[in-house]
Amino acid sequence: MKVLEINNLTVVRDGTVILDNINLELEEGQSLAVIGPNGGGKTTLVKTILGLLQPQAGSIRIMGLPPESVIRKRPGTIGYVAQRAFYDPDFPVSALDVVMMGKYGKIGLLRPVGRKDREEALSCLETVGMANFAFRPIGQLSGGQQQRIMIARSLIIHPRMLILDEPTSGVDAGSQENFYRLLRNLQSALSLSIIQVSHDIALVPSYSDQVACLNKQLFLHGKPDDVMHSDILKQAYGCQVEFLFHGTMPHRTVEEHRETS
Amino acid sequence: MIELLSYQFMQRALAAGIIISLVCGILSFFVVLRRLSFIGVGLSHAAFGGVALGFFLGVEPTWTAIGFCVAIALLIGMIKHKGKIQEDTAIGIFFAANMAFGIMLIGLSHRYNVDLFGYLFGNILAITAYDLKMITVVGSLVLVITALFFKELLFCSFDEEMAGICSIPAVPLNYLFMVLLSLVIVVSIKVVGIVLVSALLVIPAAAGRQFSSNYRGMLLASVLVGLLSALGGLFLSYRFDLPSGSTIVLLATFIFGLSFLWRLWGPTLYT
Repeated sequence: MKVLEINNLTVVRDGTVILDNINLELEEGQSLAVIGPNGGGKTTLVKTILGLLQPQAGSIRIMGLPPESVIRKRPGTIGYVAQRAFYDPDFPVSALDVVMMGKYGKIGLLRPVGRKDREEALSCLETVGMANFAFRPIGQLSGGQQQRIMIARSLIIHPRMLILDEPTSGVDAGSQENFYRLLRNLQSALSLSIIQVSHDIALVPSYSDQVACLNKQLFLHGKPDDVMHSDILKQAYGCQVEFLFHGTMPHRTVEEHRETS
Repeated sequence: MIELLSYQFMQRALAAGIIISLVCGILSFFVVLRRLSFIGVGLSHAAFGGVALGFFLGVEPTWTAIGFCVAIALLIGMIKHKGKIQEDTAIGIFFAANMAFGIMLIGLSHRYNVDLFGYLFGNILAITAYDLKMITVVGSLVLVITALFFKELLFCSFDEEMAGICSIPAVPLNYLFMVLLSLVIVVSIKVVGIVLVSALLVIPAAAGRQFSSNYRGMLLASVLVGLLSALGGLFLSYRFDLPSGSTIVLLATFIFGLSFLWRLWGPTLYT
């Protein structure tokens, strides 16, 4: 079954074409890395999938429904982890409080948070390896720990699909690989479909089933190895991109910045 | 001290002080967390325009102030939502325009003897039984609504975009909060006045925030700081014959100063 279907999607903002005729599909339980340069439209794509932006043309179907109806009528379909975890680093909530927030929409208006919700939140923290930090103020955690909390928050509603927008931008290099590994484990343990948007072309593709390159247009949609061996990246980035391989896993990139056009 | 309580005006003042500090203490919690401190200033001055409109039309100013203030609150919310003008810019514009509007109406009505000073600076010792009834009804209404939507308002304060994605009606709640604020501002005006009501919507939670690093503790501390300021301020203003509104606000500011020192040198509370 397809969890996500995007057909001929075009998004224009303030007169500029940000996404140009995008087509994309994601099968249930698969993970997809959308990579591409900054300003290539990655965040716009995520926001359109989440129903925060309206496309000028084309359609998006999540489990067969348009984004707005999924958000409104099926809370618990999409889990979302944003690039910036939150706005106020001094906000007076504990890690556990933040995870429980993920449940608020499902609990519904006028109903209090129950003990069961709290237990669920604790078990989500355990899933992401953060149970020991449950009562810490969220602002006292490191960037990587905060993103794990955000994943726990998105998991509490048992989503079918997880969308992450540059989740490791505030995470130190050493913790990034652990973070990707956690996602990979969650994908198989919970049979989650995962879309991860990233400019990290070195690591993210090796932890995904499929890779797409986005720079206004979507350049490819295939297995990581195919993408890395092709000229597609060069096309998307507009410059030479070379990889050093350890086995089939690209571990580092060497970029030669010669303008091609 | 005991004979003080036997005066009817003092009983009313105490009752009004308790209700308003309780409601303002709770709303200030969200005002501070949502960084809306400036909005108290903007809306209380919108209330001035509304009061003047009441005098001009010859109707009870409380009603025109409520209508006017709610309209301005929704307008500011809309401007923020549409996102073309920054919220603080919008407030800055309305703040000045409403004061000018109010003064122009007072000028046009040729009634220079109206008790504008009472609205500007408030007089908690002069509130009538009718005022107290208004405060009780509006205050309870706001308290109940805030309690019912507490968890959603908290999530929206933390991360509005994420709250929306998690199926919480963030935009309507935003408007709701602005309406609640307007209602509380209008009924608080008689107690502490237009100029000082914004202080009661910021200082209690600003102090509460220093005492605790969890929202539950912060909320409790905000309410206590509000109550202590109102009751202590009333007593001090009576004892030393000081203007009551400014005594309440200055006492709250003093408590904030203490809370700041607590944050610097005292223990941190995680609850």
